[in-house]
Amino acid sequence: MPSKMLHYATICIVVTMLFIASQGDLTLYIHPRYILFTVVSVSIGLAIYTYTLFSSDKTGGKAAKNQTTILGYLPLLIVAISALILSPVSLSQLLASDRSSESTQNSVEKTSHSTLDTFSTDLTRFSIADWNNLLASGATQDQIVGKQAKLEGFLYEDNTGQLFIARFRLTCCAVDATPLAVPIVATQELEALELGSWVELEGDFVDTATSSYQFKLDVKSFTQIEEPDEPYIF
Amino acid sequence: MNLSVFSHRKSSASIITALTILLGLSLQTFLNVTLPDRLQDTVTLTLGILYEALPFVFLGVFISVIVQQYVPQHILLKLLPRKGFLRRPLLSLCGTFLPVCECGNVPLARGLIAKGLKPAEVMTFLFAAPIINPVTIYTTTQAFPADPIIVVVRVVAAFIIANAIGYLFARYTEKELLTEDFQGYCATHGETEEPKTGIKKRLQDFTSSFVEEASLLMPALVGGSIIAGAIQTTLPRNILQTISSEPVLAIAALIGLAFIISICANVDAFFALSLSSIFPTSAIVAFLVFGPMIDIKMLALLKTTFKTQVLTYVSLFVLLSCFATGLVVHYAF
Repeated sequence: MPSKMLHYATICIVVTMLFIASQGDLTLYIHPRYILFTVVSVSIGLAIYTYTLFSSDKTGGKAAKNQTTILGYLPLLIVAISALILSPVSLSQLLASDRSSESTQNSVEKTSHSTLDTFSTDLTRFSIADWNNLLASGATQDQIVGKQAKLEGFLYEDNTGQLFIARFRLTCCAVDATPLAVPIVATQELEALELGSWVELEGDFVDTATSSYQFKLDVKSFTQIEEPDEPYIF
Repeated sequence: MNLSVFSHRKSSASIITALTILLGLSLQTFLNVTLPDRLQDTVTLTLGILYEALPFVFLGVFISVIVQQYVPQHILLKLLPRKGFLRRPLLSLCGTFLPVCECGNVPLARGLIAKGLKPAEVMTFLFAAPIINPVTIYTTTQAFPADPIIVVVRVVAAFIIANAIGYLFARYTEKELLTEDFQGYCATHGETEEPKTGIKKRLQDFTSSFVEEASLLMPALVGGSIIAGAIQTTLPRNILQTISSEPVLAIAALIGLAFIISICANVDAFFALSLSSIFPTSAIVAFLVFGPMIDIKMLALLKTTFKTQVLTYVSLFVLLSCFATGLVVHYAF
């Protein structure tokens, strides 16, 4: 019986994967480059599992005895039920806070801007990834201070209480998610927001010589927004 | 048991499963059920590892069953050199033709052992193939275009370490290396007994073998994913940064991270890239060699095949080898 339960639990997981893929939510777990391969592979797996379940001849009598007890299957059952019932959601601000130190270690591709943009004052076309890259690259005061930015992301605090706006970047799956973060000057209005809230911020960068983060975004205005359909940066 | 009773029970179980799936997905869609942040992150990370690995495991099982059912043992053994010292290096290069990540290689390795290859020979394939394959080499080159030494050292170290493992374990018998369950499996899944007749019979044999093999690996995969997911949310990574300036500690830290994070070998270079601005090249190389060979998820999968003691020795050997590789890179380049 446990082995049958294992078959059904596996089918539950595979059906859930296909369901969330059809809803466009599989990218909350894995990088988009894997979606096609994943859907094809698990669809074939599901077809084989279903066929085996309904075919009259089972294992041809040569199966090795499966010694696993019900306790051995329990984690699989728990994971199958969790996958089935829980709604897919993006990683929380708590994880961003845990991994905050990695946000300054990222080296990401520039997105839409050109090198010439860095000589402009209005850098509202820069994304969080661009700013994270620029700040992590050891940019000088001339390149940063006074530049205007318009950023979308969620709010989190690191263990020193510094407030950031950030988005997670995924290279493979959720397990390697790293926050791409930009430090911001906290205001009373911003601090009143719940950590993890998604916001659109506008402001310009200032030099805070005394802080461990030299350059911070001084927020002039902000709007609370819904989490985007694709919260991660790939 | 009466066949009609069996069939009735099977139908009832299938209907209950279908209804459970329907109910679960309805809850997921309409009630938007979530957990407190920390617990929800653990679930998301666990499912992330599982969803990323499962397609590769299915692919590996698929190839493994094809090898077991349709490649006659004498042809497989004829294709390979007879002498172990020639056979092992050749097997360690087989990843070049089978660009499957490490999770998919486990079922394939099981299939090769069941087909008559020695465990030590298959170990060389198992530990080298995730790195010495075109996808991993390509992504590493893409991630570190300015550091060709990383790619070269990664491939050469994987080849040497995998073959050293094969050499060290070549003197041990299957009984000493393999779990009793897997020895039983090999006894029943070796050479194809008789030519199969009819497409339906062949299909049934293929699908039942696929399900049986996948079902053996699923509890291990899920168990490994849970442990790796839970550690991610409980172990703060901030401590890594504080020790990155000391080469020996940096190598140890990234080996530890590779063990915990259980990331797919095909893309781990991009993750390593994000660490390269703070960690030295020696630590990056150690991360890139150790991770594809040994991590939590991989150990859970390997536990279905190899004895715990064997896996302990292999893990220690890989650990020390990767550490040495890191030190060589640190002092030589």
